[in-house]
Amino acid sequence: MKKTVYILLGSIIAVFSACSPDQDPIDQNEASTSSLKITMDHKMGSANMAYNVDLALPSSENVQMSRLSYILGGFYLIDGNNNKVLLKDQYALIEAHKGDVTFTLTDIPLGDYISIGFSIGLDSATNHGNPNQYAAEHPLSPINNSLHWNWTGGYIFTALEGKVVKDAETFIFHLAGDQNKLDFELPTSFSTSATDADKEAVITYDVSEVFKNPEIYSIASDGASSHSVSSPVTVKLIRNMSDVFTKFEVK
Amino acid sequence: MKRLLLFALIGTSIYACTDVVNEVPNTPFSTTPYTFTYNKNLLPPARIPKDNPLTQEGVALGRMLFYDPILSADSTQSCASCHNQKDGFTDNQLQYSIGIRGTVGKRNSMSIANLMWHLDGFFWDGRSDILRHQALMPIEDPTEMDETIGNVVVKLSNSLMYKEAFEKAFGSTVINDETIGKSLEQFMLTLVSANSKFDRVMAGLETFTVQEQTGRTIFNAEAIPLNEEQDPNNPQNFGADCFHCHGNSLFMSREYLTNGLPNVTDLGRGGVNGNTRDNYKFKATTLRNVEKTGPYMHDGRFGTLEEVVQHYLGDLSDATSDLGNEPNMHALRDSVYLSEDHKAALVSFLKTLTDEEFLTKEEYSNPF
Repeated sequence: MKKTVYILLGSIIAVFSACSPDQDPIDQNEASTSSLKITMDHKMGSANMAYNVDLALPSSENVQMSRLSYILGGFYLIDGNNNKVLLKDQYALIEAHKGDVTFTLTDIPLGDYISIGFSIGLDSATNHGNPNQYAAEHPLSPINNSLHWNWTGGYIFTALEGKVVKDAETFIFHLAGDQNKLDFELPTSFSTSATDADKEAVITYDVSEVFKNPEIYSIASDGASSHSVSSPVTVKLIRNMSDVFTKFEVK
Repeated sequence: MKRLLLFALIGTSIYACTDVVNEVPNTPFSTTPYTFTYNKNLLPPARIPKDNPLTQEGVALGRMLFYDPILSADSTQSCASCHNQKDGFTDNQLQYSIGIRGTVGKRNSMSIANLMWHLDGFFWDGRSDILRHQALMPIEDPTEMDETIGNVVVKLSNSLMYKEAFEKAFGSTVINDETIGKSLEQFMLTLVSANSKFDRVMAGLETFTVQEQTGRTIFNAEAIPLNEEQDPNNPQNFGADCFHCHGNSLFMSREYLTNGLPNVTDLGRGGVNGNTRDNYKFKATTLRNVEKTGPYMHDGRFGTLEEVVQHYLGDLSDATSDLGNEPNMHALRDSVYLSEDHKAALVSFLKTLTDEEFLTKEEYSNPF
């Protein structure tokens, strides 16, 4: 009887092992690169950002935001030896008003990292490249992002739209232009390894910072739309945006 | 007993390893891939569903179905009845399409050019998620073909021509809603318009006239309130802001938008998703071949491009939608000023989007 059981067990093993000639001898759980899934957490001061509801700007104007879209690019990491690790051709389209706030950086070498860098906006070559090179769902596809000027005219880096509650007058801030790319480098501390490769992080974006620091921005007195890449409206908002990211936290 | 058990298990082991061989049909089934020939600099990479790769056999079958009134209850209506190639696959200059038994529809027939790149749904209100589902809906719509998919399957299954065509396309004479939808999807995905004058100019093969170039500038410039400091002869100063909703080389948007029309009763997108903020919003459809796709708007209320331009130049104060929730339209309300010359220039630019090859291409035409 015992012999029969051995034959049975051996045969069952044969059934399950006979069909695995392509089995990878490397442990599937060990990764050679890592990824970083990032969620943008939008705030208005200390409160969570909300759309189509009343919000107070630093100017004390009450507004309803209806759109916050922006493009992130130029990603890199600084490792523990102060080497810059470029994450080429990786971009993110954030459409906060739609709840599209998450993206994943991939092909990150395993290692220890002390800061992350990126831009709101694109380098000039990418900004004015042929947008038809991108698949429809790509962050830089004009079909996907509705942020493209025309042909090779470049992208709107940030679109912020809404209305002033008091008089229902609308505001449209479309911030574009090579000179208005904003570069950021945020401190962090995380490590990835072959067995712990995939990380998650949260970046906090305080929308109120668009309208203050160094100068309070008033829609009524400063303007309700940005007409060009160098208009006073654009210049003031871009200057304020240098500190919109208040926290980078790896979980 | 032990030997029997051993033989049985070894047999099972061998059988388990031969499933791939057993899946090969007795008669080999093969198809020929469909290849796109449009200029890849002018439009994005082809976007084809992974579970429905385009084949010449599938596209040919879809073309037959598209033009065959067998899809309708009384064999009078085909897809092509309301999507006529010469009109940019819209409906013969009709405001509303006329369906089976003379039934008048409630919306203007949409262009079906470049559907491959449509995101976020089909129809004016986006009520269909993917193209193969969209393709079946007019069949069962009582105002269009008023037929059941079941009856269509029976009629097609009784046709030797169709049984052969389905076998060539899908490897089986069994016809069902999935293969009908997929074949129609395949044909419609091939309807690519990318050889207008605009495209040829972008490719460096032709040049715009001065009037067309002025129109292009107006099309792509932001609407800005004209003030005393601005030169009224420089259209860069007071664009028509068309590109916000009809941007990119497809001249459309994935968004559902309001266009400031008065007296709109059709809820559009809001009628589908129940979101009141989406009431009176419709797909911002492509402007390619717009010269040929009139009348215009979801309800076909404007007969000419000049009327459309004039609408956007108006004060939009009687818009049914609350433009306070539509900042881009609100800006348009406040700002657009165009002289008669500039209106004509804008229309002349729009006419550079006419693609005669698309309107006459043999492979898109009626195969019967």
